[in-house]
Amino acid sequence: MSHILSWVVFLPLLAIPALFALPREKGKWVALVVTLADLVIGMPVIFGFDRAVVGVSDPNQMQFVEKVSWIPSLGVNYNIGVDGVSITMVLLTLIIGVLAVLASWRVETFTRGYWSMYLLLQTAMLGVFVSLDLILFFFFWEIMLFPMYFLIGIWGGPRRVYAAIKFFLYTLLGGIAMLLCFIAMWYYSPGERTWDMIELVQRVSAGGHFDGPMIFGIEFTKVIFVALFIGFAIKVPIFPFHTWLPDAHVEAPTAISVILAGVLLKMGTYGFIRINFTMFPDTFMWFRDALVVLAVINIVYGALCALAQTDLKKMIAYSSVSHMGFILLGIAAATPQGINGAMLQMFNHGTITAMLFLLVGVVYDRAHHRQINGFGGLASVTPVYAAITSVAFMAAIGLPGLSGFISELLVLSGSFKVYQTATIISGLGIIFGAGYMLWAYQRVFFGKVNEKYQEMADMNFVELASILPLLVIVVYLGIFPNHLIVFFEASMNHVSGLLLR
Amino acid sequence: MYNTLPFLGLMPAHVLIGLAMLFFILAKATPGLKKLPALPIFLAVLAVAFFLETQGSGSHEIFFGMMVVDSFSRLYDQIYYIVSAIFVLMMAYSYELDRDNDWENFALMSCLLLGMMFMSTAGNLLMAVIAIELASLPSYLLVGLNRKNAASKEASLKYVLFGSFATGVMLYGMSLLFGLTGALGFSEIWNGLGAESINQPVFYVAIGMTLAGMVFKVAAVPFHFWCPDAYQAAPTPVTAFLSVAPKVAGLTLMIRFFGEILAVQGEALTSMLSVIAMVTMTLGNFAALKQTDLKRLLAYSSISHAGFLLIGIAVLNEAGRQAVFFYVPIYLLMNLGAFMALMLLSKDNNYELSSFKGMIRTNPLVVVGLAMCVFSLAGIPPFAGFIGKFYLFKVAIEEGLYLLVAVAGINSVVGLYYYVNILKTMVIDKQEQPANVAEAKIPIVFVATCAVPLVLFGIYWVPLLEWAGKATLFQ
Repeated sequence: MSHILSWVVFLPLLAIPALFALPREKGKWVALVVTLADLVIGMPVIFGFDRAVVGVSDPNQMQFVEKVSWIPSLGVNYNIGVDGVSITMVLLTLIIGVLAVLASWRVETFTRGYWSMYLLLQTAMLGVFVSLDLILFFFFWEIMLFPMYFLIGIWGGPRRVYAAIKFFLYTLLGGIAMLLCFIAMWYYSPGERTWDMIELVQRVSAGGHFDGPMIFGIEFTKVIFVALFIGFAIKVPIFPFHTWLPDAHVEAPTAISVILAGVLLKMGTYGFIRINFTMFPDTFMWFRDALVVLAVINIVYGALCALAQTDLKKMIAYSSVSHMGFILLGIAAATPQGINGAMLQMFNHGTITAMLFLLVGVVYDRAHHRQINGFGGLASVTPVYAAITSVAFMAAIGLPGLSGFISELLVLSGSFKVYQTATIISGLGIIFGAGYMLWAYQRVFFGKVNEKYQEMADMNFVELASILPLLVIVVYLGIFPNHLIVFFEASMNHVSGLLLR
Repeated sequence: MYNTLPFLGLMPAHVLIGLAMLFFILAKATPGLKKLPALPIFLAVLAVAFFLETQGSGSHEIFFGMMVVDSFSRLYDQIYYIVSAIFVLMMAYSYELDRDNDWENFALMSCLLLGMMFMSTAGNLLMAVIAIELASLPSYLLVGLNRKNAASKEASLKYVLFGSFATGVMLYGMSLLFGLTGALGFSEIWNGLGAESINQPVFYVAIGMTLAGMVFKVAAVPFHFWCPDAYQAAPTPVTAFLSVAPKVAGLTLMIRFFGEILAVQGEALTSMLSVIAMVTMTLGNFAALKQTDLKRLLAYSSISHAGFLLIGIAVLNEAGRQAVFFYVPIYLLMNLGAFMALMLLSKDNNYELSSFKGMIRTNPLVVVGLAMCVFSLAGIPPFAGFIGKFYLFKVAIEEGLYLLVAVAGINSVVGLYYYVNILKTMVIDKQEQPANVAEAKIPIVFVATCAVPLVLFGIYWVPLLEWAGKATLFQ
């Protein structure tokens, strides 16, 4: 089983022919079996992972490494492996991959197309998190785009075409900026030219520099840093590049919203940690204040926007913008606490927001609208649904005892040492968060029962099966956060050291 | 000083001249000959020429330096044969052409092919003009091949006028160069101009005007105006062919022309060519955004691709030449594949975007093939178009042409919009009218032969790299 990581990445892709060999209506079963099998064969990776080994800036410390020459004349390798930075993201992707299949159980049109795009997307997402070669990383990053375009564009809501093309154009713009930076970084690598990300981080931490010429009269590293930052920031998304997100979320089918919020957004912050910041630590220090300002804008502006929404999905989309701000704040602070908190927040936001979107999907399937004011008194009609939603909303607010609290606490306490004012303002974001979440909950579940929905059915088995695992994770990590933190603590502390050097 | 080398080096050209003679003169002289199947004859002769090209070796200056036959020209000639073979096969499946004139069509095709071959072997500006004209005249006629279509005739005439104008400008530029240096051979011109000339305006005027003929063939700004009309009105196989082969031939002529420059002249020429590249890709892309006729849209998209290819020319080095050669087979596959798919999907020669709505319901395989070609044109990995663009970006970054790179990057994003719009119409939109079901199996095989290699090369492009490595000039 020496190629286990490759199997984890490519198993979904390999299953696509099975979709066309079997009858149409078996598609969802194929997808479920494949994603479950992927989760199972991923377990040896998760549990066989040595948590004490740092990785990050030492190619010899990466685990489950597979390295094969791909394009020799260019020095590009098929090079994959995991360390503390990526292992939790792989776990998250595997879990969300299974649950989102359940969320799309009711897809009936063009099922073969849907599931083949879905499985391709799953391979691409896993590939991004395990790639250790810049070109391979870029390949997986971009392969994600066209399945996503079709998934939103064909199976989405009324304005799906607009949302899909907006998503596509925005992310491609970021992708092209990234590609050009990668080529420049390769050409002006410290030492011998290489596409190996870990190798590059190692050389930079040993005092190497990307020694390029001035670009448009500005220092090379600054231009590359900012262009890379924009490339990743579009994906996160960070203000002012966030406008594609609400559109994409609102129009995407439930399962795709779940993947989008649960996994895709994390790629941006993962890119920050893996490439953008660790490869340019000096420029990071130069840009750090701006990062903190952007983080605070994300937190407060996202929360205020969420407060103003009348559509449940749009509200959650903006709450995503707000929560992603915490991740950026934690990374910008770069203290061990802050950056561990950011990593934990990446996982927690993935599970919590996925849960929120799944819950909105439940009510949308029944009512065919998502207007917050269009419901009322659902608590008495669908008690199970109301109970689960209350836990999810509390987790999103950051109630102690649930996972969101721990990561926000870590981020804020980590950043308070460096940026007091920014941390205090960000604290306000949490209050706004409580505001919009509780207000929305009150309008949907309490008050007079809406006549139209008196007969609404409570959650069925498939819906429960998709949400309960996430609920368990959220509660469990609220009480024992350390069981996840140990996976990445060594690596993230090292990242903190690299950034603050 | 008579030797046999000219005849051996130009053997494939002689074979094609023979072919043109057969189709033009022998067919008129002996009426019975026309009963023979033209298509197999043409393909067989192409195969022979292809084989002869693979057997050639070394670099030979022939006809007193008028032509240079080397690995560069041999490789590009092979590409022309492949494109021509695909073209005649497409013609055989097109409903837009009348079958009676097959022999004339093949005769025109042979002359066009000869013209393109001479463009990539030219070593002298006079030869260049002859080659351009030899390639242009059959092109004018091919555009007007559809005699019943008035638009076709109009486009052909426009094409003639533009072509004559471009040649005129080129001849004027040549006369200036001849006046300045007393020579028309490429290396003599650059040596004659010398290092000091880059400070004099006449240098830029003369070079710029001489470029006109080549730019016209490449369909780059400012000699691109003929392109949309000609592409839209010409029969689809002709459009597909014109969008690929003469463009490549024009690029090879540019590579030959700039292959001999002095090092000091490099910077001035690079900035001149990168301006042309930037304007071409931007104009082509933004004009394509508004198009509703798919052939016209692909015409503008091919203009913008010409702009991208000019990046490889503008860097004026070996890596650039390789990047161009690397892009060419990919561009050929994706463009021919796209035109082929459109030809199969279209009904009654109607290429309006709206008539393609929801095509995936009736022709899933062809649309999937088209989608691969279109994503490749847009430069999305894992399709080969991305790799082609990647190498062009790479050579430009290595030369430090950051403005060019930034413009090219933004253009890639702009281009995505209209490419994806095609797919949106075919895949997402609802079908409005009963669509044409492509029943023939063989054309679907064609689309697959274009689309499948795009994915394979997109993932593993070492074979292409090795091939491109041979295109180093003068070997």
